[in-house]
Amino acid sequence: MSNQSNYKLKLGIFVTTAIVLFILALYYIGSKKNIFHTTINVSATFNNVNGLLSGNNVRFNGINVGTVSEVYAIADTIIKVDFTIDEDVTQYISMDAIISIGTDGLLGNKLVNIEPGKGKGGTVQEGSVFITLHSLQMDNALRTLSKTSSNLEFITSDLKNITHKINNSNSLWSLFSDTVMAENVKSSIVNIKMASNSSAVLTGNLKNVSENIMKGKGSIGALLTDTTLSGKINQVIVKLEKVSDTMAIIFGDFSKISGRLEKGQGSVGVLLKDTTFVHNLNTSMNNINKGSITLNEDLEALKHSFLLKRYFKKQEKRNQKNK
Amino acid sequence: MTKTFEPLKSFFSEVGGISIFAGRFFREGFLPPYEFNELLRQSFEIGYRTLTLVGVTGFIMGLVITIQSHPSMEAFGTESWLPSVVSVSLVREIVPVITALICAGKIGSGIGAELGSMNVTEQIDAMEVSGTNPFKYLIVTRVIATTLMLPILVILADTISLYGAFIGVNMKQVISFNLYTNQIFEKLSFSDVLPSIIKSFFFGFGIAVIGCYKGYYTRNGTEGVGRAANSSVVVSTFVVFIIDLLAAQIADILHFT
Amino acid sequence: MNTTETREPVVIIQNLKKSFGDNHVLNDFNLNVYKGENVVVLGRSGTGKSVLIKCLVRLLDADEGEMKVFGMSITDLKHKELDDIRAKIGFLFQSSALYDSMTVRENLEFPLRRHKHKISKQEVDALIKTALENVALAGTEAMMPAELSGGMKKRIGIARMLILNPEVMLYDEPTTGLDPITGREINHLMLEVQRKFNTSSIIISHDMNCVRRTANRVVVLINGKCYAEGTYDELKNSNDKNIKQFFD
Repeated sequence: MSNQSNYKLKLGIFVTTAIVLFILALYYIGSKKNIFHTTINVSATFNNVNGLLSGNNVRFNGINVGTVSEVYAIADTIIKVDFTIDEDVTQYISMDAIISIGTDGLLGNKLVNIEPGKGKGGTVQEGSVFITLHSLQMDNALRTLSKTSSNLEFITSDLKNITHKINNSNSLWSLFSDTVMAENVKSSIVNIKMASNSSAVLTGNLKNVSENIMKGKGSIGALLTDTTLSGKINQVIVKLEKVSDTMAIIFGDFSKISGRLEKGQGSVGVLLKDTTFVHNLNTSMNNINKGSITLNEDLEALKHSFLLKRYFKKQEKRNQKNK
Repeated sequence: MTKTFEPLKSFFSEVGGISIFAGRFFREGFLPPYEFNELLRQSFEIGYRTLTLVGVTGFIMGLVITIQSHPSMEAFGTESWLPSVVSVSLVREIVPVITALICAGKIGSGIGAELGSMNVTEQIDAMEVSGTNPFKYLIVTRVIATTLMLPILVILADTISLYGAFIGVNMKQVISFNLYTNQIFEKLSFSDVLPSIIKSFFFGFGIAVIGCYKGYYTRNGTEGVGRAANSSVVVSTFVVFIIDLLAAQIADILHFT
Repeated sequence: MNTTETREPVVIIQNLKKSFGDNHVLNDFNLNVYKGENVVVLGRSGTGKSVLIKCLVRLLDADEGEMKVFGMSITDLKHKELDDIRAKIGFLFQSSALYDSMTVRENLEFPLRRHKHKISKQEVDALIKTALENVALAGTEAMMPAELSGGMKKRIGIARMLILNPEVMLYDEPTTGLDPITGREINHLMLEVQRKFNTSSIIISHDMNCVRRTANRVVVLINGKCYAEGTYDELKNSNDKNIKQFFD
């Protein structure tokens, strides 16, 4: 009978070993997939999820903190992604964190990236929804950006003209008598006014966009986790802001001049002798020139950035068609 | 004309016979009395006694697959993926199927020969007149034991083969055991492990049912015993692949990919 | 002879029919067996002698006919009742049919555990001991069937039937494949069992030594029918060509 209990013992060890190994394996796999951690459920909306699947990893600064639980459409351009986050890291994730969809390596699985924001909006909680911008708005913003840049070019050449003429004019009389010039100045002023307005609007817009980009919202936002690219856009905005500031000053000066010119007030001599004004005008023009050149360069660089290439190519094609 | 259909006819009557046999297993298997002690004994015979064979084979498979995959992985510059790629293919496919094939060879022929010789020497009849339902005592216990033991063998063989793969990886590059296990469990998911374990239940069931069927219906004396053992190996090997094909497709449909 | 016939028969077989395809191995076979009697069924190989006794314990289902053992119709029995009847019928298979994977002791224990569920270990030990002593093989408990000779296997087979104290014994060619001396020992053992336990037996044989030694009555089975019936001497002196061939 000892023989009998012996085989039962061996069988018991055999079966138990296997079951323990199996449970351990399940536990390890589960711990990699964050199944046995306490987690919270949050969600984010995207315009395009690029093939994200339930079960994909969620990473916070590169460490796995959760998994995607569900991906579904809630409107024609909005995809909602539900995912879990390990409770231990929720304290580090604020509601302005940048949520984007990335790829694990060159050919790896899709994953949800979380990068910390500025710590505004409180920490993430059960059921929190990260709202992201949609790519349509981004497209519009970029389109305005390039239009503005050509506007600025136009203004710059106008202003150049004016300064040139002012510099080369022998007397203020010629300036006065040159009614065309007066008209030019007027129209320049209108142009500058418009440009200044639109660049102010644009600046606001871009600010928004850039903030959103920083947060990683929107489909382009999702693409722009590349920080250099968003940095570039930021530079552009800073420059544009500068240009717009100087233009506002110039605009102020010009409206003075034009007001005087229209009213015929003030002595011509004063205006002529006021070399400070001319000088100011000149430096302003130079600044604007420089600004618009670098701005153009930046925009060019943006255009060539591989992520946006397709968008600009499309636009080019469309322009050619329109022609 | 009828002669050309003869192989087809025998094939279908074989399939029919095995299906009826499997149906009888379910009818009788769940009704008392249960032959619990015999079940344990068969589990021991089938599971424990096959472990060495399965373990050695698993180890070799792990080692060989790693060594064989290394050159092409190296060519693509993805050497660091070796542990995860090898572990996934071992766990998902190679180990369950190799284990099942070995069991088809050892257990399938064992059952076929044992029941065959019991049949031709009237031991099965003797059992029946001794007030024992031989189907319950011999068939049900063996089928249940094999069905339960095969996944257990697969789990153990998985572990051993992954260890073999670890050694294989270390032959070409240096990797700590800790990193190795981390990489394996990083890539392995439930959808790799669970379907492979679930399908091994079916492998076990298929092997045992066919071995039992062949043995239980052995005719023509000792010559028939040899034939029963032989054909139970052939048919159960074939069935292992059929089940594997079905399992792969069902897993695919259920998105266990 | 008359005294036995007035008693109620233990086994009654009436109009038994059994065929495999077109081969009608049993065709209206009739046989009565009385208490304490050894009946030998004599027939050529493949004439369905074994089929007869297998039908009797329902290892095979008869096509037609009636079989009664202890007054109960075998064909109508439910599973539980059939098992009870089977416990009272000992069956010695041609090949002894010892379980290869079990020791002698486990072989003997097997029917005990099956038919008598509540039985203490001491009782089992005692029963096994006497059963082995009855067949003069005491001390072989731990041996495996593969280690036993053909004659020993037969005797263990007999011990395995005796352990349940059956009232009817069915022997399927008990001396086939044994040397004459061992065959004689088995014949002797069969008679001893009959005397000791007052059992009725149906012995299937074509070994004339066995028939001569053990038979109270001989039934000749030809073409699935009971062709002739009588004592060994009666049949031996018969002029019928079909009967004579057995004795030549």
